[in-house]
Amino acid sequence: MLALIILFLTALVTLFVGFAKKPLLTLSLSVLGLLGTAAALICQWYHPSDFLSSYEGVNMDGFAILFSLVAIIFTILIIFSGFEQFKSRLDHTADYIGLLIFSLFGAIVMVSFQDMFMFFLGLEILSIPIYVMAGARKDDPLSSESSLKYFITGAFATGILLFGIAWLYGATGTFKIYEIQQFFMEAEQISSLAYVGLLFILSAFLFKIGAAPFHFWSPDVYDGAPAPVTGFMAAVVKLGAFGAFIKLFTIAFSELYDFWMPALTFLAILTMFVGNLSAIRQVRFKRLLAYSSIAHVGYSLITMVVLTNNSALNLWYYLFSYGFATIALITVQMIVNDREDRIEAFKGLGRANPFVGFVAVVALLALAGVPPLMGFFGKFLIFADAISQNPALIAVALLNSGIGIFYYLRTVIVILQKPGVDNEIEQSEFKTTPLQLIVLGICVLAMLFGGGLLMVH
Amino acid sequence: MSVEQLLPLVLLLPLIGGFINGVFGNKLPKVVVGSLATLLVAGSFFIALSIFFQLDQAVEVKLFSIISLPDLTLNAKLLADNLSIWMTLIITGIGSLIHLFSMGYMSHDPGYRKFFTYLNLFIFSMLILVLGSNYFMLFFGWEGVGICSYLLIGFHYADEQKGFLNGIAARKAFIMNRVGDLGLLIGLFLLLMQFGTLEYSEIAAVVTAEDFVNPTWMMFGITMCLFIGATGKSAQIPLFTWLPDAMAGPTPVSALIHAATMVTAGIFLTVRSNYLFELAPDTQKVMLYIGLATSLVAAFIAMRQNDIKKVLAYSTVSQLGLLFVALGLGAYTAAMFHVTTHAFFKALLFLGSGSVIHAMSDEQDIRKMGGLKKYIPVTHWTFLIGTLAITGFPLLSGFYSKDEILGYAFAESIPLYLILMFSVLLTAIYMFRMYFLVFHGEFRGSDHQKHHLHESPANMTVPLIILAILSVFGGVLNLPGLFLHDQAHYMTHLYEHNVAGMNLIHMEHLPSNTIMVLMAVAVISCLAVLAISYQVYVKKKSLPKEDAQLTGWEKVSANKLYFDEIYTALFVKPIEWLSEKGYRFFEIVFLNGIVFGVAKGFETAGEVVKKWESGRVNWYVLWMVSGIVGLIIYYLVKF
Repeated sequence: MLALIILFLTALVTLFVGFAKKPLLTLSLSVLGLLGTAAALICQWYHPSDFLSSYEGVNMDGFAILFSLVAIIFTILIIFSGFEQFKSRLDHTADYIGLLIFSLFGAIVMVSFQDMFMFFLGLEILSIPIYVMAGARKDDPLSSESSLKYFITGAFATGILLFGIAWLYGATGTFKIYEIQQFFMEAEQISSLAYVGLLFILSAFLFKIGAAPFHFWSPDVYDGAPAPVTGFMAAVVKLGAFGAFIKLFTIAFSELYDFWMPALTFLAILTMFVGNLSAIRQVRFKRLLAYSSIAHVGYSLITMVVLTNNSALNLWYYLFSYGFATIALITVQMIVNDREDRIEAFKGLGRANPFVGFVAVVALLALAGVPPLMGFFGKFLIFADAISQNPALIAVALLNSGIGIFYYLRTVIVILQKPGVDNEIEQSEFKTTPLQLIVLGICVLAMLFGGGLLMVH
Repeated sequence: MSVEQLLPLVLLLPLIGGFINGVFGNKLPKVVVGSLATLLVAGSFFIALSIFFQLDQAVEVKLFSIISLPDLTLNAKLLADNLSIWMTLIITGIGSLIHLFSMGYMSHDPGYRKFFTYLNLFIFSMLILVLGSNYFMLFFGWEGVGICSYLLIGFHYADEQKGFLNGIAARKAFIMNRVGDLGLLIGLFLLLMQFGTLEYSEIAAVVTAEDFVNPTWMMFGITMCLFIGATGKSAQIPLFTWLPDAMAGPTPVSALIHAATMVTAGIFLTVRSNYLFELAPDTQKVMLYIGLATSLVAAFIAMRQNDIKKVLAYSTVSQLGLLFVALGLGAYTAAMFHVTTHAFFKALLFLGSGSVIHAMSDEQDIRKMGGLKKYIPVTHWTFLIGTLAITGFPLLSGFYSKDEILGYAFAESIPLYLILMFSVLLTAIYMFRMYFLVFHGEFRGSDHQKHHLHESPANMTVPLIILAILSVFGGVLNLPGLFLHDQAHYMTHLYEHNVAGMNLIHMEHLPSNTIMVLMAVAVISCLAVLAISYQVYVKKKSLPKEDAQLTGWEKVSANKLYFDEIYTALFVKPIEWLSEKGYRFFEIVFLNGIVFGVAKGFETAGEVVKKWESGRVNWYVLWMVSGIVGLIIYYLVKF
C-alpha cells in the first residue's frame, strides 16, 4: 500500500512541478519518486508490513512485488530514453511523464488486485493515460489516428470486460477473487452466466495484451504513437495486463482450467502465426516491433496454457527479457529518428555508431532467442516447462521461432550493412543523448547477463 | 623450483611470445619482436634442460579439467618423463636456433611480426603435443601444429608470382593432414571405447597388467588408426605428397616444422603408444612395409629433383620412412635416436639451403648454382657436414643412428637389410649430387646473382655452426656397445628408466663382430658413392639434363613417380565430378527447391495475413466481435 501511495504522490507532484517548466527538475523528482516506490516494494518483500492492510482490495504479495519492480524499472528506462522528446514540448514535459507514472500506477494495481473492482479500476487507470499519450504528437495526424483507434477499440473492450464482470457477479455473487475460486470449487452446478462472463473477461484480456483476433489495434497504435509510448505499451502495459491475466485465471478461474485451456491454446497458436507471418514483409520498424510483440504474446500465452508451479515466474522472466530488448530497440529507433520510420534507415548504423549498432543487434538476437542472451533463456524456460505436457504446441512455437529469426536477422543485416551510396535515403545522423546511452548500456548488460538471474531462482 | 612448477612455464613462455607479438607486434620494433620470440623459446629450452637434469620418476601436473562427466573426464594435464622432455629439448633447442636464424633470413619480409607470432604458436602447440599426459592433449597439439603449418606454408600467399601456388600448397597440406587426423580421431574414440580413458598412464597400467587379455582385433583397429594419423603428419605413403609441396613456405619453416619437429609427431605418437603397438604385431608389419616403401620411393624421386629444397624434402620423407621401419621392428629407442640426429642434420641442411637461397637472391634451382664454396665458406662447410652426417659418413651422428636401425633390420631378415641399404645408398647418391652441383664447378647463375653473392650475417651462420657441431657429435647420445662401454646406449637407459612400456621391450643387441661387418659395409658404400660422385660431378663436370631430354627412369624420378597425377585422377577428379553433379542436382534442384519453396510459402502467407490489417477501425471492432462470437460458439459446442 505504501508503495502505491508514494507512486500516486509522485505522479501528482510531477504534474505540479511542470508549472516550473524545468524539465530536469521534473525528471529528477519523478525518477526519485519511482526509486522510492521501488524501495518501498523491496522493504515490503523483506518485511511484509500491515500498513493499511485492513483494505482487502489490493495485496502486495511476492508476485505483485516482482511484477511491480520490473514495471518500475521499465518505466524509468522509458522516461530516460524518451526525455529528449518530452523536453521538446516544454509546456507538456511534466504531463507526459506524469501520465506515464499514472499508467504505471494502474499497472501495479492490476498485478496486486484482490477483487474485480480494483482490477477494473487498475485497468482503466492503466489505459486512459495511454489513450492520451498515444495522441501526444498533436500535429501528427498519424498520432491522433492511433490515439482514436486505440480509444475506440479500447472502449469497446472495456465495455465487454465490464459486461463480463457483471455476468460473473451474477453467477457467483462476489467480487473477491478467492471467494470466486471458492465458489467454483464448491458449486455443484455452475450457471452458464459464469462461463459467458469468463469468456468476456478473456476477450478483454486478449485485447489488452494484443492476441489474435483482438490484436488489430496494436500495429496501428504502435506505429502512430510517439516512440516512448510505444515502448511503454510494449513493456509496461503488457506486463500489467499479463500479470492480471495470469493472476485472475490461476486463482479465480483455476477450477475451470479444462474449459478455457483449449480455446487459449488455439488462440495462442493463431497469435504466433499472425504475428510472425505479418512481420515478414514489414518495412517500418515500429510496425515490425508491433508484430514481433504479437508473436511474443503467443509464446507468453504458452505459460497459461500449461499451468505449472513455475508458470508465473516463467512468464515474469519472459516479459522481463522481452521488455529490455524492446526498450533497447525503441531507444535505437529514437536515435535513428527517421521521419517515416523505415527499417532501411538503420543502414550503416553499425558503422556510424558501433555501440548503438551492437546493442541493436544484441536486442534483435535476444528477441530471436539466440543463446546466451536473456531472450533465449526466457524462451527456453517456457518451452522446457511445457514440452512434456504439450509437445505439439511447442513444435508449433519452435516453427514460429524459426520464422521469427528471418525478420530479426534481416534487420540485423541492414544494421551491419555499409551506409548506402545511393542518395535515395538521406543518411540519419544517429544523435544520442547521455540518458539514452545509459538506457542502452543497462539493457545490453541485462540481455547479455540476464541469464544469470536464473541461478537465483 | 620443482618439476611441477617448472613444467607449465615451458609451455607458457612461447604462448606469451605469440600473444605479445600477435597483439602488440605492430607497435614494437622488429628487433624486439624477433629477440622476444627467440629468447622466450630459448628460455623454454633452459627450463626444459633443468627439468631434464632433476627428473627421476615421471611427473604429472594437472592444469585444469576440460570435461568432467560421470564416464568421461578430459584433463588438461602435463606429463614429464624422459621421452617428453627429450622431445621438448629438441623442439625448443632447435626451435630457438631457427628463430635466431629467421631474424636474419626474414629481416626484409613485411610479414616479419606475423611470422614470429606463428612460429611461437607453433612451438606452443608442438609442446602441448609432446607434453600432454593424454591423447586428447596430443590431439589438441596435433591440430595446433597443423594449423600453424598451414599458415606458414601459405605465408607468402600474396606473392605476385607464386602466391597462388603457395596457397594451393598450404591447402594441400591441410587437406591431406585432415585425412590422417580423421584416422587419429577414430583411434581416440576406439581407445575411449576400449579403456574409457585417454590418459597414457591409465591405459598403460591396464595394458601392461599381467591379467590383461589382448582384444586382438580391437588392438589392431586402434593401432592402425593411430598409424593412419601418423602417416598424415609424418608424410608416409599414401599421404606423403604434401610435404615436398610444403617447401613453398619460408625456409626456416621447412627446417623447423617440415624436417626437424612436426613431421616427427607420428614417430612420437608411436613411441608413446609402444605398449599398444606391441600388442598388435600386424600393425607393426604394416608399418614396416609402408616405411620401407616410402623410404625407397622418396629416395628414388629425390634422385632427379633440381630444386634444392625439394631434394631435402624428399630426403626427409625417405628418412621418415626409415624411422617407421625402425618402429615396425619395435626399435623405439633407435627411432628416437635417429629422430634426434636427423633433427640436427636436417635442420642444418635446410638452414644451409636457406643461406644458399639467401645468397643466390631467392634462386632455388641447383642447375643455376655451382662453385659457391668460395663465396659462402661458412655455409659451405656446415652444409658439407650436414651432407656427410645424413649419408652416414663414419663417426658423424647419422652414421651411428642409421647403423643402429640397419642392424635391427639385419637381425630381422637379410632381404629387408639389403633393401634398406639400397635406400641408404640412394640417399648418399642424391645428397652428394646436390652438394657437388651447388658448391663445386663453375657458377651457372646470372651476372646479377653473381654480383650479389654474399655470406649470410652472423645471426644466420651461428645457428649453422651450432647445428654442425651437434651433427658431428650427436652420435654420442646412444653409442653402440662397441664404443666407450660405460656411456653406451645412453638413450636406451634413459627411456627404460621412466617411459611407460619401454622397460618391457628388450631388443637383442647383435654380436660385436656382426656390427663391425655391417659398419664396414656402410662405410665402404658411403665412401664409394662419395668417390664416384666426385668423379662424375667435379672431374667430369656433368650437369643435370634439361627436363625435355630426360628419358627412362630419370623422367619418372623427375616427375615424382606421377603420384600427384595418379591422386588427381583417382581422388580429386571423381570428387570434383561428384560435387559438380551434387551442386547441379541436389543443391540447386532439391535443396534450393525446398528452402526457397518454404521461404516463398511463408512470404506469400505473410502477404496475405498483412492484408488482414486493413487500417479501418470498424473492421477491427468487427473482428473483435467475431472473436467473441467465436468463443461463445466454442462454449455452446463444448456444453
